[in-house]
Amino acid sequence: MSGRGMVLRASRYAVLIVMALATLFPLLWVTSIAFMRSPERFAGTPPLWPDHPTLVNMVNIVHQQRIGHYFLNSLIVAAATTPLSVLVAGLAGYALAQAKFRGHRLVSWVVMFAVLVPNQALVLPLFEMFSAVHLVNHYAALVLPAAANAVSIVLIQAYARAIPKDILDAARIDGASEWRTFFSVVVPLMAPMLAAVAVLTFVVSWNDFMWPMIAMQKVDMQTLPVALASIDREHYQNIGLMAAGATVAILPMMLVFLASQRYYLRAVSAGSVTD
Amino acid sequence: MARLELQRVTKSLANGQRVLRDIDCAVNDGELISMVGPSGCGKSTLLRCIAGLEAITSGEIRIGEQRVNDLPPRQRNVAMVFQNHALYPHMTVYQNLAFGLRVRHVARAAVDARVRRTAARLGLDALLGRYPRELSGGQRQRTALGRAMLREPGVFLLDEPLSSLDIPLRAEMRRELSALHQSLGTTMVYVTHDQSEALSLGQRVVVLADGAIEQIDTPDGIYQAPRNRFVAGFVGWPPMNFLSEDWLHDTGLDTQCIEYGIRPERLRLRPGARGDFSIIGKLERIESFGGEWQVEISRQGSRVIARVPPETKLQRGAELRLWFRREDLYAFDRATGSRMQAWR
Amino acid sequence: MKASTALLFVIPALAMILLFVFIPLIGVLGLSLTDFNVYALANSANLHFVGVANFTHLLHDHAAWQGVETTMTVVLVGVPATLGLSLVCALMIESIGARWRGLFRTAFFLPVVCSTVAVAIGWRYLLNTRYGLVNRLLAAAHLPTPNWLGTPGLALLAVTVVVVWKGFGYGMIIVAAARREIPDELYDIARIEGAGMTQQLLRITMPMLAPTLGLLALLDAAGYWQLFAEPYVLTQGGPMGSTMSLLLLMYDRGFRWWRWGVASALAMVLTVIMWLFAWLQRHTRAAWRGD
Repeated sequence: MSGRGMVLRASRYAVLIVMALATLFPLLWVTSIAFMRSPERFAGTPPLWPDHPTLVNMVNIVHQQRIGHYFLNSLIVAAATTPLSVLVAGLAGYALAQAKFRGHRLVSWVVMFAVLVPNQALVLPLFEMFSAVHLVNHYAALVLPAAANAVSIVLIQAYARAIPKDILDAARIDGASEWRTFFSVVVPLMAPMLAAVAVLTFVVSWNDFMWPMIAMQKVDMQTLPVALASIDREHYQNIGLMAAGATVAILPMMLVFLASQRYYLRAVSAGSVTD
Repeated sequence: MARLELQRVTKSLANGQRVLRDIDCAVNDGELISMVGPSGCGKSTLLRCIAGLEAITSGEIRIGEQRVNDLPPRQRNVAMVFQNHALYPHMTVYQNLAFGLRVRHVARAAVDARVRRTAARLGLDALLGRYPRELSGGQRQRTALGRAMLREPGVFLLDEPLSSLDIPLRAEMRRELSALHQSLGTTMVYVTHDQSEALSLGQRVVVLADGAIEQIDTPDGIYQAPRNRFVAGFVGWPPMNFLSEDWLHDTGLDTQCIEYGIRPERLRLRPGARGDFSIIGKLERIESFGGEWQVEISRQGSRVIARVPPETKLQRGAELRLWFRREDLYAFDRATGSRMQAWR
Repeated sequence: MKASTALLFVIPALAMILLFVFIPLIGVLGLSLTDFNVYALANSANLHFVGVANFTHLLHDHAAWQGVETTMTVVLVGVPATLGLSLVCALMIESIGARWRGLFRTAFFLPVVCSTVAVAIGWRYLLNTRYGLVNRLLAAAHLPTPNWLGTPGLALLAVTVVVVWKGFGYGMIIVAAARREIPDELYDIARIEGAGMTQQLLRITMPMLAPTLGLLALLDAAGYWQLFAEPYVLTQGGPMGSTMSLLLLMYDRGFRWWRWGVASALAMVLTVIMWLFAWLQRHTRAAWRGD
């Protein structure tokens, strides 16, 4: 390789490394402060790395602020939303991709239209609806609307088009019912996309903020981001505490992402080609 | 094991197009019947209708003693082998074979015994733990066959099962399939677009065109006594030569109302008995197949192909005379296309 | 698949979409034509149809105009910035060895999966006048150290920075996928014909990526119109309403003042703006495909 090529290559890496560090810095910094004993004690900016790493902020956020409780709420909501949403979208996406039926066009249109509605603009009537059936402050208020995910249907439909018709016919001849075909043949064939949609749904549900804040008026029912925002209003000055809270909210999703990024990124890049 | 009967089976699409027209056909118990026709003739559709994957518009399909028109595939007691095998990619050979029994809630031990017996019969025993992507074309083919065999269906439907294989493998699988049919004795319907496959495999052959049956007969019957011009032209390779008037000027034959055809292998380079006819044209092309040559002569734009023994004296561009016996000619009514039986 | 079974398969999704998207949408439209407020909440007799009064009210409402302006600023500044970063990162990542690609991809994408509330808390400390690292770096470079979140123009800039930081990784993945779709042969031909790096970028890469970038611009824009959590945590809409996005304003009118009629009218305005963008998306993509 020529000298010029080497320099070019090295500079590319240098720029990338600087940009990556800059991108990660806010996340790393928050995590670092979370393990610092009263970062306020420094005259100016706290150091980048805790001098004496401590768990005191974590203990406080767990004990005084019951972050574990909200964590559990978020986990319950995300864990309930994900399978429900994937099942509903999987059934619909598969049927739209592989079956002909009266009303196919109408259903497709409904799904495409739903993609174009900003969910957060719907919170007022949604709140009214859930109040009417006394489901405000109930997990169902967060799970049900999140499970009606039109984007997931579109992603799965695009993927399910590639399932060979002969394989489905073979299952029918083999004597499998439509449901059996779906669960024994279609689901395994769509597994990569279903996994992608599942991770996407889980992360979105975990991070959702506006609707959970409105639907969960009772403190006990709040999800992690909502609780974090309200703790923040009160303990804004306690940097260590808030950093610990933010870390608790961020780390699980980072781990989920790191463990499943193959699937996650597939769903993201698939989003660019669907129409 | 069962008899399959199709009575005036018709299928129309939503736009009114009739893709199957008055199909009447009976397949005897234990018979292997092949269905052949050009692409788009409706043969695969017919097979899918028998399987119950598609509904017919009118008529009746009977399997055994039962009218199955309105039964779903799983209640028709049929098995099917698909063109691209259609194995479940996420299941091992074992699971692929067992699936049909498992969904019918057959006991695990019984399934196991039948899977192993079938696998042994097809030489798949060593491959039971493999996935379809780890198999060769022939092994996939056998797995697909095994899946269909395992359920011991009344009727075995095969939709161009060999077309995705390499040519040498195709011949081998064809022989295997034939042997399998003999040992199983199951009623089989074999759909193909390859007429040589249809003729070599089927005990009887159904020739379809444009959604209707042109002829049902034994392979020899189809070849030697085609019912009409279409069947005559479709079966045989190279196809039958249809002789325009120009070729037959000096024969004194009636070419007004009758069209004549001659199979390439019936044309000879030398005269046989007295009274043989001959045609003459410019030798356009010689194609050698080793033991046999195909020669093509032309006259006023119309061409005739003959299969002859190798003959070094032939020269391209020269005039060539080909001989044939009068009784080897096929005669077709120009108006209806049907063959004139009285000719021979 | 039988039509009746297929219908059975789509019915759950259809029912949920109708129930949680279509009916609320009609609800928003309905509410926006009423004077639904805290009194109507107590007694529905206090609910009146007011026609387009809420919309005419918004026309004269300084806060509403400011909300549109604020949100549009974030869109108009944030989208090009996000797009630029997505593009640069995607092209750089695709140009290095496959071994390290995954690592950088992960680094740039991590902010996307993080809770907006949590990262906004982190950013607030980064931008803090006393503890913040940003100002410390600026001071070290002898540059002015402003009160980022306390100054109207700068607060909006800060919100935009956070939005872009959190969003560009998403676009990077999409652009990288599109870049991989460009056949290598095109670059081989270009090199044989003597095109340099810059030429290749301008003559091949950019035109081939243009449709993807266009789509991405509209996706990003649609997302940024729905700005809410970042200003909610960073500035609560302040200072002086300078970071009050449309949704934040809707939330404020709806759940702080219980003026649901006005809040719903704001929601309708936002929805219509988003549809305008969707229409634009369809239109521009069709145009790209057309010629």
